[in-house]
Amino acid sequence: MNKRLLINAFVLLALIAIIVYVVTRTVLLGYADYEGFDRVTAFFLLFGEFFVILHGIGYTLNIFRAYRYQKTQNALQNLAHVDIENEPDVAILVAARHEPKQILEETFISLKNIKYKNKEIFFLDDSSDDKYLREAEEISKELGIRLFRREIRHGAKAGIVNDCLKTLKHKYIAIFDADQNSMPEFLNRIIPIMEHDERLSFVQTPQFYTNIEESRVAKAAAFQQAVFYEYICEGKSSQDAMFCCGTNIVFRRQALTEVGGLDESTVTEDFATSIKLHQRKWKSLYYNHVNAFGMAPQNLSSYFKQQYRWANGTISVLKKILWNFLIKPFSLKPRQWWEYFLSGSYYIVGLAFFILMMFPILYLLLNIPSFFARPEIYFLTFLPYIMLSVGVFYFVLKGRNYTVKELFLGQLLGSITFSIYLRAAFFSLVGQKTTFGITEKSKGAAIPYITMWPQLLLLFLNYVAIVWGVNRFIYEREPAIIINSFWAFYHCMVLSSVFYFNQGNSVSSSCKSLKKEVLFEYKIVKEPYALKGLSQQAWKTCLSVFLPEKLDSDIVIMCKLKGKGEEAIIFDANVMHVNDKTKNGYKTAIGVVTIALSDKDKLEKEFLI
Amino acid sequence: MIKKEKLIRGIDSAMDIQKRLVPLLNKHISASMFFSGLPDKDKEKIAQRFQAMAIIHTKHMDTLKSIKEEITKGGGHVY
Repeated sequence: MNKRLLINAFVLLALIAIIVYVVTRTVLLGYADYEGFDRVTAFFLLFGEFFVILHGIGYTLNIFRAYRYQKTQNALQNLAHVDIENEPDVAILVAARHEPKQILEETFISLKNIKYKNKEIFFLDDSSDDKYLREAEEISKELGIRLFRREIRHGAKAGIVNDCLKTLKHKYIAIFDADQNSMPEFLNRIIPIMEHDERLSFVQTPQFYTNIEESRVAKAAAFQQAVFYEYICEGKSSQDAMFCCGTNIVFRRQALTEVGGLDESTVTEDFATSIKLHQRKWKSLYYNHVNAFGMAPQNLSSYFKQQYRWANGTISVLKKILWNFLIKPFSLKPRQWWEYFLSGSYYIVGLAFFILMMFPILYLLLNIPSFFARPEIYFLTFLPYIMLSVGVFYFVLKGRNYTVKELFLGQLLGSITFSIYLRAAFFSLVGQKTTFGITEKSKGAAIPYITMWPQLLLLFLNYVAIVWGVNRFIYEREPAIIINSFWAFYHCMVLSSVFYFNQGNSVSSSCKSLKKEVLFEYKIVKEPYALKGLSQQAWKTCLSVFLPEKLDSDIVIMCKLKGKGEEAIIFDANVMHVNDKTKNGYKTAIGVVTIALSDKDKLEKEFLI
Repeated sequence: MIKKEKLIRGIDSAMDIQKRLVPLLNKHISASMFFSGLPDKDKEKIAQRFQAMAIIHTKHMDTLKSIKEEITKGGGHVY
């Protein structure tokens, strides 16, 4: 039996198992003798389960489609290697606001190195800080790229892209995030595909994180991305419902201008713009070939911020999708509506996870919901459903070289983000927009555990539920107690991963407290490495290890703790390491952080007494 | 036809890009090996090839440097 047939059979079996479980679950709910609060909670549980199942069906269908889509991918692969005689002109846009200089330099150097001749690179600098404004000018001058700025800020990244778009005449617009490094063939591969079909509005390529060895969060985030950019995107593309992901993409300018540029009303402008394009009967395509490399968020803080922004923006677009579906149901094909509904509703997964994690607790502690399926029915329907659907997920991704362990890591990270998704969904539903922020590129600090109180509270409750469940089982001998205790245990394991992911590099999380507790003496020095008895190279190496970003200032402020305590060197107003607080205040502070001369005043005012 | 100054600027720019880009792409491609699904033995072989390419890269830089020196010393202004 060939592999494709085996996978198709496996996927079909999984779909059947899912349907059997859904039907059984619904019928059992009808039979149950629920009353009042019991009934309400039972419906919540059903919602949580059905939400996961709905997206599971969507994923499984995409696997089917992705296998059929292989022919298209192969055709694209051939097309991508066609040489074009008269290369159409392409504008490459990189929007940035307060991004580290080193990150930007790497991006622009990689873009400059793109083989495609008829290209023009634009640095859309939206910074307001003098330091970043100056650096942007230095980069554009040094690398010979065009610097674009605007007078009035509006619409964050989408706004500055739209402002620049008005000044462009190029046939194609390539957009990259500030931390995406392109391969030399990027445009040579994509432009022939765009040239082949005049109704193609954009071609999206994958985002591929390569800083996976730098932190656990980065690694897990990379595998989450991988899951999305494999079968899901291929499946969506096969349905002409691939949406723009904001970077590593080439737009047809005509299409983009026809819909009024990128949608500025949301932080997920890429997603919202795609719907407009499809409603205007433009086509889109996903080309699953890695042409650019980027960086994943490296700590929980930056990962949570990124996920909050994506979730908040996507759910705000979901409202538009639903509204559009009501007033213009024929503006998209049913299969496109289905895919957009799935994409738009994905981040409600936070609510579904929360419900699913709460229910074993409710059952074990309060016996809610009171009715539970007979064990044999539960095992006969639930086990095939869960085993086949999880099996299909891991099996097909194994075919693309992902291991179970790595994928599970990504799922763990997604699971502990439930509270962020919940908050983002709530604020999005009440109409509160988030501001557009960049994802930090440094490893940074571990976040205080107090900020993860929802995860920790749920962990504690699950633990209590297990203990109580064991106690109940001894007296009641009810199989449902064992099943719920198992789930509570599983949720405990999942939630415990906050301790695994919350890593940092010992950066003090509160410089301001230093001001209150510690007096500094300081002096400006030009060659700090000499003072430390190090060579310049050794000093730089030391800084590259400890600093979140490249150090390029040659002026530093040397600080000393007044009274007892060791010497501290402080640059850029971040204390890299502060020893434990003792009864008498901070025992010692040893820091290595950067400062540009322009930041000196700020440092004195904010951090030094 | 190209003037001496312009040619030297071009060589400088090429050297600069090469100096910065090769380690960058090397970093990305090496990291992406993690996703390759190849056995460790094969990964090691590829890593060795990368190493060899890095050496070729330095030789290429040396060639560019010597070309630049030759042009700088040379009397002609147009090439």
